[in-house]
Amino acid sequence: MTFLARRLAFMLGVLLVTTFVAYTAMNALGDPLFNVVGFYTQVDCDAVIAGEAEDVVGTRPGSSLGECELVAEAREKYHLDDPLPVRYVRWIGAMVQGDFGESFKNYMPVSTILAERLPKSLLLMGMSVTVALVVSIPWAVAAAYRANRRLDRASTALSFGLLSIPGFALAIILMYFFVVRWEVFPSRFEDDDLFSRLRSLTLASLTLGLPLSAVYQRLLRTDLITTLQEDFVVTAKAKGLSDRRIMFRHVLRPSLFGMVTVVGLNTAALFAGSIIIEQIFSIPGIGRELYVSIVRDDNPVVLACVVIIVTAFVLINTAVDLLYSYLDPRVRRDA
Amino acid sequence: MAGPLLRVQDLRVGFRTEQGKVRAVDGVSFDLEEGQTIGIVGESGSGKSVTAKALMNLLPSYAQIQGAAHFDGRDVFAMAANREKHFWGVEMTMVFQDPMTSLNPVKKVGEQIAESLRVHLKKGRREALVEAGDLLEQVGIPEPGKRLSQYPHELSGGMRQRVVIAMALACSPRLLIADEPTTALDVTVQKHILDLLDDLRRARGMAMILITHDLGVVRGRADEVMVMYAGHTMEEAPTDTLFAEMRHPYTEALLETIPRIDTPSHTRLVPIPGRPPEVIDVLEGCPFAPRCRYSVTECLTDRPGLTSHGAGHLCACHAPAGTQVGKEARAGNEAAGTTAAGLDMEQFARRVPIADLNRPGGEG
Amino acid sequence: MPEPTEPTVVERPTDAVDGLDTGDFVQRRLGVGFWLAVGWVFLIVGAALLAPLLPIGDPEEIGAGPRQDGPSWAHWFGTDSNGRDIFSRTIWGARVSLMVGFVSIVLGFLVGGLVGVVSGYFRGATDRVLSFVVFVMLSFPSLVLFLLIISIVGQGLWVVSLTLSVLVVPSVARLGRAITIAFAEREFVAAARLLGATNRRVMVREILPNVLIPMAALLLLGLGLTIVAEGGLAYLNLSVAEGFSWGKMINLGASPRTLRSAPWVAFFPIGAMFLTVLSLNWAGDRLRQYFDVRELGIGSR
Repeated sequence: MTFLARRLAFMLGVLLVTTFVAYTAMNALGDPLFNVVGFYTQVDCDAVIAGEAEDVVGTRPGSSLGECELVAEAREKYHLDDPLPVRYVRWIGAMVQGDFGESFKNYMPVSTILAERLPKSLLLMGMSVTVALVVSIPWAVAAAYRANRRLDRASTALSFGLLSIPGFALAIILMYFFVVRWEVFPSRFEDDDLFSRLRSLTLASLTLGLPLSAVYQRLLRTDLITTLQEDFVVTAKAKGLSDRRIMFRHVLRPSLFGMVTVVGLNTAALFAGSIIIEQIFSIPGIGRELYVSIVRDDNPVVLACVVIIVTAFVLINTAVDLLYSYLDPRVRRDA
Repeated sequence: MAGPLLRVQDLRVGFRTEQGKVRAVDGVSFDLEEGQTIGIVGESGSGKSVTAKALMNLLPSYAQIQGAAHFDGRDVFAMAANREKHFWGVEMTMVFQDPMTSLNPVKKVGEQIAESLRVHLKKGRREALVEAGDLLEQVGIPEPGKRLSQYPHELSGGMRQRVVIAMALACSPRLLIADEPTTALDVTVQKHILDLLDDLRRARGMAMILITHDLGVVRGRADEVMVMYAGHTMEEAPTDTLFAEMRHPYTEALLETIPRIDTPSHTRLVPIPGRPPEVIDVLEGCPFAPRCRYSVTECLTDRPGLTSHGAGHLCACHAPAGTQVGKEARAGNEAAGTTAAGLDMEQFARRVPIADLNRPGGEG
Repeated sequence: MPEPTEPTVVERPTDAVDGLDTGDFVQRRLGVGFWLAVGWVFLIVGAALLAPLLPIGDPEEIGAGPRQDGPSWAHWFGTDSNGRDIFSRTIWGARVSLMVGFVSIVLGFLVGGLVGVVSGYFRGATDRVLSFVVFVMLSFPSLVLFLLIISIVGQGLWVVSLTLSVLVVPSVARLGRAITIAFAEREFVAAARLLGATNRRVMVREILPNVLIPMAALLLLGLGLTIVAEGGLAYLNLSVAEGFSWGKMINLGASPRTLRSAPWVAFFPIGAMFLTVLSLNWAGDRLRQYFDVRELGIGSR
């Protein structure tokens, strides 16, 4: 129980710190007022509204009474006159109650935007992790089974190749062949039914999943080889079990620890990694939304995306810790 | 069925290394009848474990195996080459030295015992688990039902070795190889495990190869004893004969390293000086000669063959202990203060405190 | 750690029955691949440094050849949509890519190494706080941070490099911490402490050299990582504003229309980047094995 409590406190701490950093960066480094109204006021707006200064319509942007009223409205609506920490607390309080605010740019509720974008990114993430695991586990088992022989050496070279292709370059190569040359996959995201969604996400999930499979393969291969030296493998052989059974039933599970940690870290990082990939393949997911919102200075959307990405990271890592106790009963007692 | 259950003829196992070829086992032969026990005794590196692993098809693929082994008339090495699926783990099984590491840490005890039953005898999951429970009871584990769903780390060393034994017995083997089954255990637990193995063997009419570095272990438990050194058989005899008329100086030396209950506690143990040779080159002469109190010049140049010393008693020595030749050789060495191989005889006269003794360890 | 002995078993007959008897011995040689990789890196670095002196055309000259012309004798790598020579641009593009990658990896190693050593040496509260900070950095989507900083602060070379160095700090800090803990328990450190050396002296004189040597191998792996990250930023037009790097060149050729009519515009810079990163990874990994450092497991992106 204390383990769980400590874990939760840690998660909360990470969430608070990251959101605070993001909020401060968005608000202190940029000018939220400019981001809302889209121009800098050129006059003392308070004076203009109070009628003490001249309304100079049409001379320079941000100088008319109408524009000044917009500014005053924005200030009040977003409490821009409050100090930063107060605004942060108010923002995080609303967030906890499920109120993500609304976009500066198209005034849609952020929650609506997220509900539209998030499922596509989650689907892409799921597919990428599936690709990575489905490819890496059999690959690692085959390589470890014939460690240091020809097949293993070839596979090492292949994994290095995969690791060394930048994600966006792999995306462009895949796009060149499968979209431009052979026209096997659509060039735009098709959202008709599940099948068309899966089809539209295939190349992107390969782009994200294949390099990861190389990472996992290398880690798992090393750990498998270490486990193969254990005495209980000899016992299993003496029981007359087949090599296949020994590999999959006896050796694989105790070898998964190292990989599981890294899978956790990388899966969470996929959200961020998908920013460029979603951009290349025109996938209307969270990553693309985030990129567009940053470029457009749409603070509420950016912050909501950051919260989602960080939460996903923390949650997945906690899940990994719990998975440990399944994989190794020896950890279970401490938990 | 006529003929022995297991017949090993001129078994040789070599490993090629950068320093040359290591002859881990060099021409070992023995027969084992159904229901009998043979003890194979020797220090680490004597080749006793390699012999067992060769029979169990556990040697790495780069090991070079020569000679023949027939189990109930079937060629063991041919079965290995044909990847026979239901022989090892069914008819011939093995118990290992260290129960701490020989069980899979992430699988439940019950699963590990039931696995052989499911794989080899095609039993269902539930049926196999019930049978695993019975086996645990047979090996003397209390509350077997509860143990089935425990993990190895939740059991003590002695318990784990019982589990390993239960695993080996699952498919009712006709031959069980026990490789130093008690070396890694507490002294108090050792006797229990050995007695358990003995009882189970009798009850099941199973044959057993008991591998140990401790002559005391085979006494009263084995029908026959084979003493190995540097890959060679040094002496082989029915157990009673061996202890009554020990012929090989190495056997004699081995016996002197064992603390015995029937001798006064102040009796000093005598270690065997030196170390076993690294079995790389073809040795000229007797491999034990450099450490032997009986060695004569002939021992350095001419390897002794196995000769008969009575019914079923074989010994490979030029100056066997307890014979006239041997007595003269030893007396001569004592008088000279050194043996033909240059071993200092003085050290045997010196009293060696027990605490300083390195008892021969487990298989390296 | 104990000196790994030579593998005792050399013979592995190729026709042997395959089995589970796998022995994974450490290779104590760097191999031909290592030297090929080092050769390529030197070639690229040399060409980038000497670009102004090389007899190649002006990379910015519009209409140096026909537009979107395939590889030819006049233009080895062909020309882009503005008729600029891609061979010349690939060499000039290496300057920004390598410069940003190098500066950021060095910064990242300095900061990360310092954090790791301090954290691993003092343990206790210091360690807990620093470990927390490192985890926060890991959990914060780094690319988001880059985008925020760069879109707000600007796209100068130093800003971009500094931002990218954040990418490697957490991994380096974790590794540095682990190695420091391993060394802090060794006898020579205890001896230095007993002799009355100050903490700073022990850290700088006794521990740091031992941490730096194995981490040097990882410097090459990290350089590959930052070069790729710079490429990603450049692809989003968020890298260094002045001049151009491989990433920006790739971006110019990546639209489906250009890919269809002139694939070489994107593929030659991709090839240059791939070979460079592959060489860095290969050389770094061989060095890592040579020094026997455990794998980092930092993912690619």
